[in-house]
Amino acid sequence: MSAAPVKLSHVTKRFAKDVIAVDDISLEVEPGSLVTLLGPSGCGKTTTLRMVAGLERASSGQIFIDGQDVTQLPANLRDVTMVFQSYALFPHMNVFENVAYGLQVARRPADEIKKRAHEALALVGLEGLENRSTRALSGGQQQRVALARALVMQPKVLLFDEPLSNLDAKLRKRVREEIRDLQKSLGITSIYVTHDQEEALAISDVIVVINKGRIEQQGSPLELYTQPANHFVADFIGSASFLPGQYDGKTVSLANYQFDHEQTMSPGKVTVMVRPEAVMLASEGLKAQVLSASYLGSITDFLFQTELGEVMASIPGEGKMPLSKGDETHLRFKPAGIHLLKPSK
Amino acid sequence: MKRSIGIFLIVFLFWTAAQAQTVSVLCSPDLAWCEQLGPAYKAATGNELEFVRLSSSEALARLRAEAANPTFDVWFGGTGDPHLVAFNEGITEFYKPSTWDDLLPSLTTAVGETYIPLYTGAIGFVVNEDLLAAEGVPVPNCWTDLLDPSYKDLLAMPNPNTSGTSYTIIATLIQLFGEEEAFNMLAQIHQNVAQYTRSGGAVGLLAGRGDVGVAIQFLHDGVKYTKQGFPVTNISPCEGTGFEIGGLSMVKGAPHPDDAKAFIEWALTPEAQMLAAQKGESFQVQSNKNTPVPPESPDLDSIKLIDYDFETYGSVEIRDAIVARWTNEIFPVPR
Amino acid sequence: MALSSSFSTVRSLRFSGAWLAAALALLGFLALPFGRPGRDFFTIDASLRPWALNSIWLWLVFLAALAALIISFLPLKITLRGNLLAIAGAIGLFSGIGWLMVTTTPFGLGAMVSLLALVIVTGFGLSESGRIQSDAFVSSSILFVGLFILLFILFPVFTVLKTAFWVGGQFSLGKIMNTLKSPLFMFLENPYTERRELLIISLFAIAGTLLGLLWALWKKQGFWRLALITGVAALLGFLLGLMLFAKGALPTSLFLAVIVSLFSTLFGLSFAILGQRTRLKMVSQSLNAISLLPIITPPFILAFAMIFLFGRRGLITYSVFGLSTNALFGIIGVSLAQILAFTPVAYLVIRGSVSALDPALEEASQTLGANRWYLFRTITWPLLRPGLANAFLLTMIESFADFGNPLILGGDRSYLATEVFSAFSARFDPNEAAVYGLVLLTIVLIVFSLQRVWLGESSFVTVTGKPSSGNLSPLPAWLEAILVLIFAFWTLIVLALYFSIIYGSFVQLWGINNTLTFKHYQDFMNAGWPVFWYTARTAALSAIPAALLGFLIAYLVVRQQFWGRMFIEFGSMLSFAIPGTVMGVAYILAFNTGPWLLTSSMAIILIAFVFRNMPVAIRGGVAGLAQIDPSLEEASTTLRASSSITLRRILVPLLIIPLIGGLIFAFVRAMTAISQVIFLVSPGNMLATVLLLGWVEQGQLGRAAAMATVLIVSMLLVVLALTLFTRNRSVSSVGVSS
Repeated sequence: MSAAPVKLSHVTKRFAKDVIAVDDISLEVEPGSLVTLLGPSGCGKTTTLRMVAGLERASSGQIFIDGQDVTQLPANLRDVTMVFQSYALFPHMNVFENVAYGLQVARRPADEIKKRAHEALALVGLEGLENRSTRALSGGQQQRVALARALVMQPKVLLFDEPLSNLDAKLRKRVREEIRDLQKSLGITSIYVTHDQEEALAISDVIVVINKGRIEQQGSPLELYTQPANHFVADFIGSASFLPGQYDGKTVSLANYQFDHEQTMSPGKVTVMVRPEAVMLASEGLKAQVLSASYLGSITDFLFQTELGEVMASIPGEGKMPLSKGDETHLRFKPAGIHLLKPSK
Repeated sequence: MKRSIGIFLIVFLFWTAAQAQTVSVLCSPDLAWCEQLGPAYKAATGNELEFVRLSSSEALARLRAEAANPTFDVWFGGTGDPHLVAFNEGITEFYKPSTWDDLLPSLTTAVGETYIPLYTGAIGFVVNEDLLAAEGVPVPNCWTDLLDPSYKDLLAMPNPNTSGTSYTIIATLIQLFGEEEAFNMLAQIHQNVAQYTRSGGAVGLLAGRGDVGVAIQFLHDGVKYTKQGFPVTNISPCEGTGFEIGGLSMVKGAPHPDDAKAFIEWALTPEAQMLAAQKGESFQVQSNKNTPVPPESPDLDSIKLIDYDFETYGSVEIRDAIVARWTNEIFPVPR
Repeated sequence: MALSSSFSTVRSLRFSGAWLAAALALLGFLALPFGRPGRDFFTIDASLRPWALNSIWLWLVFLAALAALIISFLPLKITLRGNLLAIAGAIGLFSGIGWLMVTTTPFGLGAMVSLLALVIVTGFGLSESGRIQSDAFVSSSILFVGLFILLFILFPVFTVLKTAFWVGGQFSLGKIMNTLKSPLFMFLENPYTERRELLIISLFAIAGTLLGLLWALWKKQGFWRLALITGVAALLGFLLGLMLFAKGALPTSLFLAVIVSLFSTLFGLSFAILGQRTRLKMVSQSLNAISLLPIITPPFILAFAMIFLFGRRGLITYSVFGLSTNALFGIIGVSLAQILAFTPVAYLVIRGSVSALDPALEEASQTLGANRWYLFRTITWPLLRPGLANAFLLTMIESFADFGNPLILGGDRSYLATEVFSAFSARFDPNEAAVYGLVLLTIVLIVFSLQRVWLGESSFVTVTGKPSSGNLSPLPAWLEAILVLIFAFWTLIVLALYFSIIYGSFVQLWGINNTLTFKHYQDFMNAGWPVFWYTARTAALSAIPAALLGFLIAYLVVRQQFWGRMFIEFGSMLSFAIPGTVMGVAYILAFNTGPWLLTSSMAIILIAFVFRNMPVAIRGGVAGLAQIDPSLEEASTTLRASSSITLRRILVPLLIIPLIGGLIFAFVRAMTAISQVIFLVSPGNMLATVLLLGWVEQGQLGRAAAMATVLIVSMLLVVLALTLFTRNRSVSSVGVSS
């Protein structure tokens, strides 16, 4: 199976006259990679995905799959399949019939259909359940049937629309690993939509953060976490505190606390992003008072009040609460959890 | 969708195709008679016949509506006036049957060569004597009897806006008493009328069921109700009464003109005409003088028939004027 | 990990699927005559072949079809090719239709085939160019549905309008004035009465104005609202005066409609309350059975039976009470018959809002300790009002449109619905009939828009409503007793009516000679059976396209976005709202001559049935689709299924129950319809209800009763079969995905 690239070029989707759901999005998906569209609900990520599927048509711009311009191609003529949030299993068909449906529509010979449906079901670990009614399956199993149904078509591109949101937290973790493994071993180009940043970080080759119909940033999970392009991305992926500071090209000043930091950034006012795990307690540094503390076993989550604003911190505990509410202390930051952003207005 | 349209078209085409080569008859007499035509015609000639039953004014309406593309070949039966109108408007054409000379001369001379007389029957009173006795009023014998207020709510006649029979009744009164006097009488009759019906045949049923005591209509329809077992008797008015000549016409531009002529020839034979009384519950006097007069039929010799002026009262203008006058002057008067 | 070797599931788009339709258009054009000489489609008239006609219009059709065929294979960009195809298709269509309209030649087989094929070509074009953002099946369907609505709903209605204003080839208001001034239509001032009707009616209007003004002032309304309220009150006063003192079809129909909808709503409300709250299981069960009656009974049969119970020698009026009166014939009789027929409709509508009522009512009364009147005013009434208003307006429309009951029991009063028929068929005045039709149409559309504006109803009135469950407090004993009494009385009358029909079919002469006989059934077998059978076949044949078209429209309207969706919704709503007699006269005026000549054929009866009964299926389809997760269809689409495959393999199996329901009700409605088809029957195309009405009018009571019995029993069986069928399949199995 040849993996195919997907390219979106200045794609815009308007619904009513002035409702712009997707605003000039350009995007390239490498063959065989898994790209996640991440963003809050209503940001346009699902609309983007549906435009790739052909379920919505772009108002302007172009979409290419495997180099072919498919912008005006109806959904059923595109070589993509999709796993839906609700799984969308056909309730009047059993497991086998669901998986075989696409091949039947494509008028493949019966023995080929049988062979390939079985292979696909084996791939997702559902051998032996062919004749079950889909309603008799657990949520996880239904999800796998939906996946098998999409895989059996050997699409050039596989689309996932929040496929895990109907599963409970534990199952979600397991299934996402399986999806990732399957995707990697089959090498199918995949686009994955989710609003769950943890899920996105766990499975993606590339994450595209979308907000209000526009791309905020795209990059590998590591890039996005350590070098967010702006406040929105920094805030949306992981948690962070934001403090106003000064940068002179070498040193960051936060009130009377100064530390060295290397980043290509023009000197002047900056916003300093601090990841909670970068915060250390110290005898000197940024003066802070404990607003709240919650003991979580291996770590303790703190909220500090400083003269520049509130700071969140996750401090590894050593079997005891280092501080309690009202205590005063000083904070220092590990360089790995620090990133400078343009100052917010 | 495409396939279902295809199937649909094919079915539709076969259905339409199956309708060829039969004579289409617009039939205005009693339904029972109309229903006898098909089987008898097939037995006699081997040809098929289809009919629709419409009262004579509805039939005229239909023929006018279809004048550009007629579906009917023959108009069978119904009061003569609309047949005359149809002939004058060029909707029907005169066909002189080979049996023309066997038809009652009184009828053929009355109509001239406009339409073919099929039967004749007189206007009269169809009376439910039980009801009249129960209400304590005498059986009426003359038109003038009907003016008596004691008949209040006991009379029924058809509405001239919808019924040819009703127009014949009004035209008869006008010819008997003159227009002004006739409208005077109609105004007084109006006070006694319980109901004007839509069709001419329906009034007898009202009398038969005992909804009214006296129904003004064609007497042969009364015979039908008597035969069916309704307690009604037939009375012909003492001053004399009008009559109708039931018509038979060939539709101009008939889709099957030869079948039409063949049917007309057959319809005028005594064998065909005998059907009416034997099986068709219709007791008009048939036009062929060789057709035996059914014993139940009102004996036209004992009825005082007026010299009905078919030409004058068959004209559209006079008809419209009379109906309009009735509608404006009689109908709205409270009763 | 392994999946078997790859294959391409993507169909080639190197050429357009439109080529097949274009080829069909060419074939139809070349092989078949474009026009026909008269009614018959199969008289192949060589002079009506396109090349014999040699008209520029027709050559355009030919060229367009040829161009479409060539364009389909051109290696162009898909959107450009789509645009070209759409243009070619449209040019072909317009020139073909243009030729038919200009020469007024009835369309022939060739025109039918090539124009329908060109619609498909245009559909492909619009889809491929992206102008309709769905596949060719959907865009062709949209075009077909749009054309059908145009041709079979809007065009006939337009013809009525035209005929009312266009007399003898020129525009004229004369016919309208003459008709509206006729005593048959409306008679304000009657010179033959002592009283001064015009004055009285004016006084009513003035009283209305004053009351409205006072009320508005008292409520301290602003100027515009004050003007509005005063105006409406004046109109209401005028209408009230009109109803009470004027004569003629308009005041009579108006009066009738108000009375009937008042009583039907009242009874419907009583039954709804009773059905929900009674402890008597038998009552609630028989209520559900009774709500089926109007569906299975041709409208005029009850009226017919009433004569024998309530006529001058009626069993109840005369034999039991000794009354000898003709009062039945006229407004009293018609309103009785209509109330009997329409109360179940009102009941079904109100049932929904009564079940919404209870929890709020119980809670409020328990927690707030409010007094009963306050409770009624603030909670019960606002909750009940939409249901009541809906029932009121719906029965009002039914009453205006009803044709059979006034025909049988109307006496000599005139009614709008029957006058349409009389004007057309007895006086043969198509223009007058059109004027009456226009009046009736206007009134019904006003009531209909009132309903939509006032209640914000969606296009398809919900005559459903789920009976609520749970523990409801029972009715006060005295109220329940009264309601049960009313219901028992009502049921008794209905049963007596049905019984008298069945009884009448087995005795020599209904009411006069009560000897038992099977003669009427023999007569029915001889004279009625062929017609009955023909009607059943036609109704069945029409039910299939009615249900499919209804579902297709529901699918398009609910699931697809396209320009003109409002038009399709509006058109379908119109076919639901227009009274049958108006549609009947519209059809005979529109399809009697000219390019769309269809009268006197089975086709026109089929078409009338299809478009009359389609809204039932639309309603079922809309409700059914609301239950189905759209991602099921999307999943099917992404698995390469076109929308026609998705419809067939996903939606039809999932919606099979509402689909069969739509099919059955389309069939039953076709079997019992009369008002529209009475205009359309022709030799060989006679329908059972029309024949039955003829028998009733001709006094063939026995066989009429026999036919009515057969009709009622068979419709009952059909509806029962449906109920059993749907009950055996749990409704939850109707695809509601998680």
